[in-house]
Parts: sequence; C-alpha cells; structure tokens
Amino acid sequence: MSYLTYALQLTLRNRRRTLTYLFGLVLAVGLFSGILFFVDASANKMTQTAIAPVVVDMQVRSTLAHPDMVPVRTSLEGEAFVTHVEPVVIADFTSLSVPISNQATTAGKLFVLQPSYYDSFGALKLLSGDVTSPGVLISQAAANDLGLLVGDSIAINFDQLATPYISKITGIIDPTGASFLFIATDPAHEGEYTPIPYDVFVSPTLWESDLAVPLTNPPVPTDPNAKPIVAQKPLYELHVGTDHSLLPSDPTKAGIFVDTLRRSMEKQFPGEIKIVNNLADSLKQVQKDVLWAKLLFLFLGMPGVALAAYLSKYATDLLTGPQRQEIGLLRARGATPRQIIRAMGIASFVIALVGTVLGLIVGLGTTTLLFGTSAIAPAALGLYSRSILYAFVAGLLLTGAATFLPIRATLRQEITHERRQAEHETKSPFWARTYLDVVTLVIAGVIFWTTRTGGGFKPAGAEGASLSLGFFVFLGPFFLWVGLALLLNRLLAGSVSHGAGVIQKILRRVFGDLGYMAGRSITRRAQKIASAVIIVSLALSFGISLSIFIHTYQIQKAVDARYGLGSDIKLTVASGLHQQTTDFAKDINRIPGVAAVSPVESLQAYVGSIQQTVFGINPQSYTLAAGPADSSFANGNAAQAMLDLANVPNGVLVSQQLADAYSIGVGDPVIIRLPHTTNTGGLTVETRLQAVGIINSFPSAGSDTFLVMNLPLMQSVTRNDKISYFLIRTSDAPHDVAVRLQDTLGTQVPMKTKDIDTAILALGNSMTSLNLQGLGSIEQGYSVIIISLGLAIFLLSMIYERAKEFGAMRAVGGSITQIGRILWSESLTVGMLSLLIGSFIGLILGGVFVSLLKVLYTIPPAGMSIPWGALFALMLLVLLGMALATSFANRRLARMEIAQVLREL
Amino acid sequence: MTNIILETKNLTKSYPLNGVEVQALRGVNLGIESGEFVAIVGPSGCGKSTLLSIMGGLMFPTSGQIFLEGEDLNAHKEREKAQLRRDHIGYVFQSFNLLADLTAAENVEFPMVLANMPESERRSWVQELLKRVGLSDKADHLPDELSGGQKQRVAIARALANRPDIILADEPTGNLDSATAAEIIDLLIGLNRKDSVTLVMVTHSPDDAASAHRSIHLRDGQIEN
Repeated sequence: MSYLTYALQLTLRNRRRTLTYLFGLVLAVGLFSGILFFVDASANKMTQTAIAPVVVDMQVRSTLAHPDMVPVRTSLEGEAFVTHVEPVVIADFTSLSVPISNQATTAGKLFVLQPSYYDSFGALKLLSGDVTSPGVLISQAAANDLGLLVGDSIAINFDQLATPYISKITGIIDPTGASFLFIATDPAHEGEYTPIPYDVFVSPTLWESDLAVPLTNPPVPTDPNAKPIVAQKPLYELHVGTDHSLLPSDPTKAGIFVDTLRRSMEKQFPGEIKIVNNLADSLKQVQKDVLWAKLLFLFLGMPGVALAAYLSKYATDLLTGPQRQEIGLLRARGATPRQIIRAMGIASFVIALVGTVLGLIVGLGTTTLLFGTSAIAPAALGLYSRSILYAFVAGLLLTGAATFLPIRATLRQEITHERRQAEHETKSPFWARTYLDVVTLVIAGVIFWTTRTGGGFKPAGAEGASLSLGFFVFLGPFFLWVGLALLLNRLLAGSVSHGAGVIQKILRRVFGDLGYMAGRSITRRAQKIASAVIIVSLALSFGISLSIFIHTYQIQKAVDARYGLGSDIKLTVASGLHQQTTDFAKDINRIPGVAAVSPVESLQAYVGSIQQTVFGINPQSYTLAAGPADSSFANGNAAQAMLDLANVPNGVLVSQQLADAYSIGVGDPVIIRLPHTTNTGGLTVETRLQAVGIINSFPSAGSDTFLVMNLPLMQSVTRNDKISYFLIRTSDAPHDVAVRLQDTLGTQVPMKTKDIDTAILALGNSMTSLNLQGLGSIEQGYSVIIISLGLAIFLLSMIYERAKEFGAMRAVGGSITQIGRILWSESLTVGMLSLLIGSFIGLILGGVFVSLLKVLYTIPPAGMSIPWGALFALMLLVLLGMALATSFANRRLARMEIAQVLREL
Repeated sequence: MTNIILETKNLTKSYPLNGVEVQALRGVNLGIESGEFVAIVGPSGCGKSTLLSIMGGLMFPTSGQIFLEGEDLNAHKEREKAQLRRDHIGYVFQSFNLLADLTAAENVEFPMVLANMPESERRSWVQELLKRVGLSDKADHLPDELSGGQKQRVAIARALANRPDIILADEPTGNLDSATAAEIIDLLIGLNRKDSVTLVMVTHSPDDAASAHRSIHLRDGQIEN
C-alpha cells in the first residue's frame, strides 16, 4: 500500500477527527481570505469610485507660444491605454454683449473644441441647439444673464479686436460638469478651481478662419501714440481619455501606472509640454484611504482569524488521544518514525488542501454577500490572486502547526505511553505555567505606551512604513484581548474551585439534585472548563468589541458628514446678480420642514501678513441651525462659546492652530484687515476684535487656521450684506426638504442645495464610506459560529473523553434526559461564565478600539456608543448556538452503544 | 416454588465483522432465581459479556426475549428501560467505570440521585453501603486516589444503591491481583448469603465460578449441557 493510499484511508477512517479539524480550518481560512478579499474588493471599489468623476484623465498643456501639438497627439494615440485625444485651445475675452444693447457681462473664456469633444468626454452638457452648425455656443449663465437664445446673435469683445466679433448662437452649454476647464494656470493660483460663468465654445474651423490670427498676432497700430495691442497667448492643450478598465485595482499601483505615461510623454517632449494628471491626482486621496482601510480591516479582523486558528488547534488537541493510539499501533506493528511521519504528513497535507480550498470558497462566498456576484466574476478574480496565495499558505502553515507538529512530538514518546488512553489531565496548561497572560498584558502595555508617546495612532506617509506601524499598533489591542482573557480565566480556574458552593447551588436550582452532582463534577474540572471558557469568551468579546466600534463608527460617520456640511442642508445661492442677503433666511424659514436657518458669510482677511478665512455668523441662529459639537471648542462647551461670542459684538473665536501660531489667548486683542467691497483696489479695513474663545473646528474649515466673528460687525465693516451660504436644520427628512427648497425658492433664485443624506453617499473615496457594517456582519457571523463550534467541540470531546463514564451513567439507570441535564449544566456553566467574561473584555476592548481609532473621525467621539440591540441579538445568537451545540452533543450521547463503550479497555 | 427474577428465551445475537456476520449468541435460554449466585463461564469470545449486556438491557438481542420479573425488557421504551435498570439491576464492571470527578461517596450516591431519593435518606444509605464494603474512611476520596480493589468496592456499593433485585457483574476481578480478587469475591458472596442479593457473574476464573451456586457454560454462543 502506498503512503498516499494509506494517508487517504487514515483521513477517511478518522472521520470525526478529520471533520472537526476541517471545520476549524475552513473557518480560519474562510475568515482570513474573506478579510483579504474584502480589502481587495474595497480597494477596487474605492479606486473605481475615486476615478469615476474624472472626465479628462490628463491635460497635456503646451509650454510654447506657437506649438505644434500634432507629434504629441500622435504619440499619445499610439499608447494602448489611451482611448481618445482631443485638442483644445483656450483664449480670453473681455466681455460678452448683445449687439444692439448696452447689456454686457464680465470677462470670460473662449474654448476651441472639435464637435467630437462633446461626445468624447460628455462633461459639457448641450442644453439646446447643436455643436456642428456654424456659429458659437455659449454658457447657460451667459445666455441667462444676457437673455439670449439659440439663433440670436452675440458680440464677443477682445482687447485685440477693434470691433466685437459677432456671431450667431448655435447652442447653449451647461459647463458645470467640466470643472477641469477652469483650473487656474497662472503661477500665483496654479491648480486652484476658479469657475468662470461666461464661456463661449467655438469650432477649430471658426477659430482658424476668424480669430486665431487677429488675437495672437494683432495688427500694430498705425498711430505711434496709440496704446500697443498685446497679443493673446492662448493655452494649447490635448485632453486625454484612457481605458479605466486597464488600471490596476490597487490605487497605489494605479497611480504609478498612470504616472508612467505622464513621465514618458514629458521625457519624449522635454520642455514642450506639461501634463496635468487628473487621474493620478484623484487617486492620491484614495491611496491613503486604502492604506487606512487595510490597516483597519486587519486591526478589526485578525483577532477573529487568530480565534478560528486557535479553534482548529483546540479541536486537534482534544482529539489527540485516538491519534496517539493509532501511532502506537503503527509503531507496535513495526512502522518506523520516518514512515509514520511521511504517512501522517501526506494525510495532513490532504486535509490542509481540502480545508484551504473549502475555506477559500467560503471567503469568496462572504465577499459575494457584500459586493454581489460581480465581485467574483472571472474577470474580477485576478484582484484576489495575491490574497488567494496568502490564504493558501496560511492554511498549510496552520495545518502543519496544528496537526503535523504534534505528531512529530508524539513520536518522541514511548509506544506504551501512546497506547494508553489519554490520562486525566492534572498539569496546568502551557499558558498558565509560562504566565502568558501576564506577559501579553505587559506587551500590550508597552505597545500602548510607545504609541502614546509616539503621538498616537496614525499612519506615516510611505506605504511600507505605514503598514509596519499599523501592524505594530494593532498588536496592542490583540495582546490586551488575549492577555485579559487568559488572566480572567486563570482567576476563573481558581474561583471555580473556591466558588464550588455557589455553582452547585445555582445548578441545583436549575436542574435539581442532578445539577448539584454535575456542579460537583464541574468544580473539580475547573481547568477544562476554563479552557472552553477561554475560547468562547474570546470569540464573544471579539464580537462585542467589533459591534461597539462599528456602531460608534457609523454614528460618527453621520456626525462627520454633518460637520462637513454644517447642518442638515447647506444652501448656496449663485453669486453675482442673484446673491442674497440675510433676509433670504425668512423665505427659507417659510418652507415646510425647515426648523432653523442661519446665514454664514465667509471671506478672506489678513491676520498679520497672511490671509485667513473669516466666518461671520449669528451665534443664536447658528446654535439652532448648526448645533455645534462641544468637542469643537477648547472649553468643551459649545453653548457657552456661542454665548460668549454673542455677548461681545467685536468678539472673535480663534482657531486652535491660529491661537498657537500667534500666541492668542482668551481676552487678547486680535487685529485683522477685512476687505472693503466698495474698494476695487483691494484695500482693506483694519478691525480690532477681541478673542472670546478658542475653537477647534468649524464646518468646511476643518482644523486649519480661521476666525469666527459676529456677522453684523462683519457686514458693517465690509459694507457687504451678501451671504455666502445658509445652514438649515430640518424637522423632516433633509433630502425631502432640499427638494422642496429647490422646487419653491429655486425657481426664483439660482441656488445649490446639499443635504446630509446625499453628503453621506457622496463621500465616495473617503474612509467614512468604508463598508465596515458589512465587515462587521461577517465577523460577527464568524464569532457566533466559533462560539457554537467551540462549545460543540468542548461538549463532544467531553463525551468522547468520558464516554465510559457516560456509558456507566446510563448503565446505572440514567435516562438520556437525565444525562442531558449534566451536559446542559456544563454547557450553561461555560456559556454563562463566557458571557460574563466576554462582555467585560468586549466592553474594555471596544473602548480601546474607539479611543485608538479616534484619528479616523473629524469630530472625535466623546466615548463609545453601545449598540444595545445588536449586542442583545449577539447574546441571543450565542445562547442559540449554545443550545444547538448541547442538543447535538445530547444526540451523540443518545446514539452511544453503551455495552461497546463499557467494554473498551 | 421457584421465583425467577430474570429469564431469557431463545436469545440470539449476531453482528457484522469485516463483512462477515458473526453469531455471538445462538438461542440462549436460561432463568435466574431470586437469591441465586450464578456464574457464566466459557472461553474468550463465546458470548458471555454479550449475554450479560443483553440481560441487563444494555444491548438489543437480534431475536428472543428477556424477562425481568416477568416483564419483557425490550418491549419498553428507552426511558422506561433506563428506569428498570435503575430500580432493578445493579452493575459491576471489570474496569470499574466510576465517575472520575466524583468522590467515592458521590459515586455511590449517583444512582440514588437518578432515582430521586430524598437527600437525607441518600446520605445515611451511602454511609451504610460504604461501611458494608469497608470503605467508610475513603468516602471523600476521588477514584484516582483509590486502589483497584477499593474502586471495585465502590462500584459494588454503587450497584447496591437502589436496592436492586439482581446484580450483574462482568468479570469483576479481571483487573485485580489475586489477593484483591479474592477479597472482592468474598464481598460478593457475603452480599449474596447475608443480604440475599441475586448475583450473575461473568468470569474466566474457575475459582471464582466455584463460589457460585451454579455455573452456566457457554461455548460458541450456546449453553453447554
């Protein structure tokens, strides 16, 4: 018989052992691979979400005055990754006007685009007309403000032309989706988004025939005293679209992939072009976020994996007796240790292979649950190749450690020892003898201390460094979790013996005299009971801490979204002609569902020589509409801070950063220079304010440098009563109220509303958009399985180990029901102790998770939020799992062949 | 007038072993009278222990009947059969089969708890039984702290716990040295003679069998005439 045949027979013959171990292995690999796949799928989703809004992936800009962009375009079109390249020319005009009227706009931009551009990128929305007819297309703002329609004529005024260029309007364009066209290129404001409402779009034919030469090469005035005409220097660009499906799913790799093209082009045309890589820019934030996500998922998920691995080991340890007998028998029959190791090695490998493959299927199944079947479509499977490899290796290593190494250890013992039935264990377990509980708690303490002295939990810039720091930090709660569980179980093992009377009394009350007898047996097997309590309480505490963290995270997600927005709705009225004053708040207040409104004016003022953002608010209405968080203020009291500001007309709240930078304390004077609207030369008015408080954060200002002052004073100094935006608290669903506002006021005044419901959904590439709820559900499901399985293995191994005792109990007249009560007594004892210990550790660990990961939130949570409903459901599931495990063990007991069991030596 | 406590009629038992049907018992008929001490003897594999297990309701026969005080044992459901075992039969095993985590006194008390005997009655009866088997001073010892002979005494005391009609002993001296084995046999003889306990004992030992009122010889699953 070959080793393989024997190994297969060995595996199949010991079905109970094989299946028990396989179940643990499948669980461990399933959870591990599930987390890795979850990270992969999340990274992919975050990458896709980040790049989805990018319309023009790259803007290749010429640095020359009269460039030839054809070679550049040809080179770009030769790249497999590039799908389309569109030439663009951008020029300036001084105003637009109606030929027979005095009505005119301010300066704007003229874009030269091929008709195909509109289809290639789709960012410029054609509202009316068409893009191919001869003539010009104008922006909606220009059409609205000048009252023009398709077919009307428009005059475009250029400094270089003596008379306006008049053309027929062939279309109206909504350019709001093409923000990339309005990114400043001048060195002072490079990269800043500066929307220009008045735009004209012309074809290259019109540009070449009518405008290119006069604008770029204007005639020299014949009158030598006349002011010279300065030629325009249009911006020549190529807008590039790429095939996003070719991008790697990992945003870091995707960023590198995209940037390779930029570097290659800039190298090919040195000094001629400059590339704005919109695609790479969009990936920058998500690269950091994915790093965080990886860290977070490992942080939250690894204890579950460790637990499942421990469960496998626990199952194997409990079933070592038959294996020892088997080895003893083989040795007695003359098999050499090498032959036994080879056969057992092959058997272990077969089990590892089957278990790992099944575990991977389970992992993919859980990923499908969260991301849908598309996540495991053949095309998407490449995403998981590395994770599959990791999970596969982990499965093999785990099996090696759990099954193969103990066999080697066994072979060192005497045959006579092996043939014996497992003796009643009297020695303390390894962890207790080595004080592993104390050691792990000390390690946890050292990690927390190092983290705290190192400035808290935060990742560094470089990926490698971040990950190593992340693993290091995540080990802190892990060791705390293990250490606490072991320590409590050490105390438990002692207290079970000493508290025998209490346990016996409780069990007598529940199960009668038989419970009392079971209680006596339990208290004499404290060590075995404690080992079961360890695994169940670890699993339970894992589930509880995860629930607490995820619940707190979800709550803070909403708080963060509210903070970003300022209130339930942020209403911004279009600037220019339609900008509103504080009186507009009255109109808003009349809309059903509006509970409070507060106007906010935001402008730039000089503090010293540096420009800072200054917000003007009405403290009373702001308190009602925005409901600022206490944690936003240094004094920890939002209401008091608002009152202090309201009580001092020239009071100002200074941001913490600014206060630190300028050493400003409460009561100190703060001198700022506010812009004066009547001054067109950029002159400012010096204003003496008094610091009344320190503010940590303000909606939309983050934690940067800023000031918050009273709106009436700001308006009187600047002589400007216009408002930047209104914050609205609603009594109905925010999104519904926002729609109502648009439907009523929006028809009269161009406005933009952003509600909190939409804001949460829009946080596409942010950490707050992570599907932690999904991960949490999976891990909680696993923890319930681990708890049930742990109890089932404990009870079944108890039946197996004590089969003769249970056989004797039945022989002396114990019915299945009566012996079932003994099982229930043990199960209930393990379950209840685990519930107590698990809940205690879970609460502590949940607090640690929330406190360590405070850095994830813009507004740090004051403490942990406890999801009572979810915890109650988890407890119920644990009790249900316990009941199922006990019923299963009871069934095994009922099927026992008493006579056969009692005859075995 | 004879008083048959336990009777078997045409008992057969067969089971598969490596694909072959093995006949362990082939039509065994016997009757055990009250107060009798019967030894079942025979070579290894002749079906002695199988017969004892079937007589005690621990194993189903393939065919035939067992009557305990006139009641067909296998006509009862498992729960009722457990009750019959508890109230009418006491078991003594070769390997003692004591509950490892209970003391000697608790092991003896266990069947009484199953029978819902009041606690005060249990306590005094446990003391009495331990005294009878000579282990009053070992009441609080765990099985691991007792010698083989002491363990078997505890097992005998446990078998007597619910005042059974019959005690079935499966090679009770099989794991003991000869001196201790003799003590255990003396104890069983004493119980039979002084307390009129009915005993059926499976044994290999001719000496032990000689202590019985009669011996039943089993060979190839049949009683030898």
